[in-house]
Amino acid sequence: MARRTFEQPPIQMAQQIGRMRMVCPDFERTSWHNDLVRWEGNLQPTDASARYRIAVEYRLRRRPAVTVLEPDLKIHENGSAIPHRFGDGTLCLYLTNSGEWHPSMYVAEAIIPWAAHWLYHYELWHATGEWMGGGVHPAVKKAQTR
Amino acid sequence: MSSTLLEAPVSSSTRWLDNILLRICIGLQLTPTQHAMAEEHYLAVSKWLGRDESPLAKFRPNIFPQGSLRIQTTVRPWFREEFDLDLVLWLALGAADPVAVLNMVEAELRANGIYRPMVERMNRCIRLNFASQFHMDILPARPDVPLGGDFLLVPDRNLRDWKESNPKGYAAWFETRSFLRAIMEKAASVEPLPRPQGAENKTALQLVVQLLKRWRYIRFINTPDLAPISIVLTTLAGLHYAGEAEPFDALRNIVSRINRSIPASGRLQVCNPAHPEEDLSERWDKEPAAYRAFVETMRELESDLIAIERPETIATAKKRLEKLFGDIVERAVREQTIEVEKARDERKLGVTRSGLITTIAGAGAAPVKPHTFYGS
Repeated sequence: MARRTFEQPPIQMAQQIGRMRMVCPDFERTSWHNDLVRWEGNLQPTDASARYRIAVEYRLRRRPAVTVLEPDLKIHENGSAIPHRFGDGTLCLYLTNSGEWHPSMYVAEAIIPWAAHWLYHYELWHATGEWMGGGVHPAVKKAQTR
Repeated sequence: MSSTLLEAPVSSSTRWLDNILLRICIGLQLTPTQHAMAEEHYLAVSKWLGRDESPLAKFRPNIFPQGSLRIQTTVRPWFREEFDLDLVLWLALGAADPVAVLNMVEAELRANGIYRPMVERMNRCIRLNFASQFHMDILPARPDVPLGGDFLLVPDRNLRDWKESNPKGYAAWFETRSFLRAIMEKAASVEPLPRPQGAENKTALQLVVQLLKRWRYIRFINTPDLAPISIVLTTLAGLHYAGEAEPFDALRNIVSRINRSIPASGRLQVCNPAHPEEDLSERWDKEPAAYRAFVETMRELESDLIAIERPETIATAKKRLEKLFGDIVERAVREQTIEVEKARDERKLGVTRSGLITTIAGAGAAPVKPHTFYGS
């Protein structure tokens, strides 16, 4: 995809909040202080899946941080750790500095669908033992085959 | 295959569960290639037996599929890889010695250099063993003149007699039962998961029959002698189907209705809908252990299905499905995921308000923008 340039202005917080209300009306805004906003809402990736309560924290121009509040995410029964998370437990949803995410995008339109997609693959990883959503591991620096 | 089933509205598989069940069934049945090959072979056999020089030609032979092949509920058979394909060889014959008719068909097949090494003599039919993928059971039949219509008489070598049969009548009954679902058809606003290839003409009832046959295979793998026979399961499914549009609802409701129809004393009688005097379940008189196993395992199946429906996680649902249908579930789940990812690459993946993954972005579903999961 085309790399976004810094000429594109970031979307202002009030607009981000308005778009979230429109696109994800079930997401509740739990706080908003100037350029920091936090939402909470539920995502259920398939009808056979759990319903996850997630929090999305966005500071203007920074990485939107998605945390799963409940149910607790679990390691695999074979002992392996949950893939594609940052050290603080937030979800790795896009390739940093790739332009996949840019402050000129809406959290409601990019981050929320990515989080649902992440949760889908998280459940499938438990089911099959394999992360089938593709992605990049920084240690390996190589795209996995889908 | 020259099927009698018309275009029936198909399962829209709007749920994860239904989509997986559909994939399980597709994975169990003949592939389109095998189907085409089977058709080619049976047309060739038909042509051979009906050629002018054939002693059978004067009986105006006509070959048509029967059983699961006719009603499109084939599943991979027990303990081996080949499919059983059941064909009726209709002959305009009057009273005749049943063994002589079987021998005449066998001799005619052996007269062909291609078929000679494949021929195997069976009690009620002549079998042709086609290289590894399937065998064809060719069942000679003559019209049952007193009963008329599609009623047939088929030979029994051991009994040296003719037995009543009505494969076309049975298929017509099943087709009528399948079509109940047309009335209940609902329009899906969002198509949530990619539909597998080969599912085009499947009705919910056909899927239920395939699932019950697969369940029987897994459940009775160590006690095959106790397993209910295929036609009993097929008939019960048809009798208790009430037009559910999707395979899971249909399966759960059929199983629960079967259980409610089991009498407190005596035994359940399953009659042939195309031949009401014929008790398809008469074996249970001689084998009460098989009947007890049927009653117990159907109750167990009902509670397993109720558990499957409670959403927990995909992993839990998969484990519960594997208990019923075996390792084919793993393949179905992986195949579905691969297709979801393909939809994502084609930018056709969407997410609804509640976070459900769907394959059509647009009305009611926000598209998943390109992204790469990052981090260890």
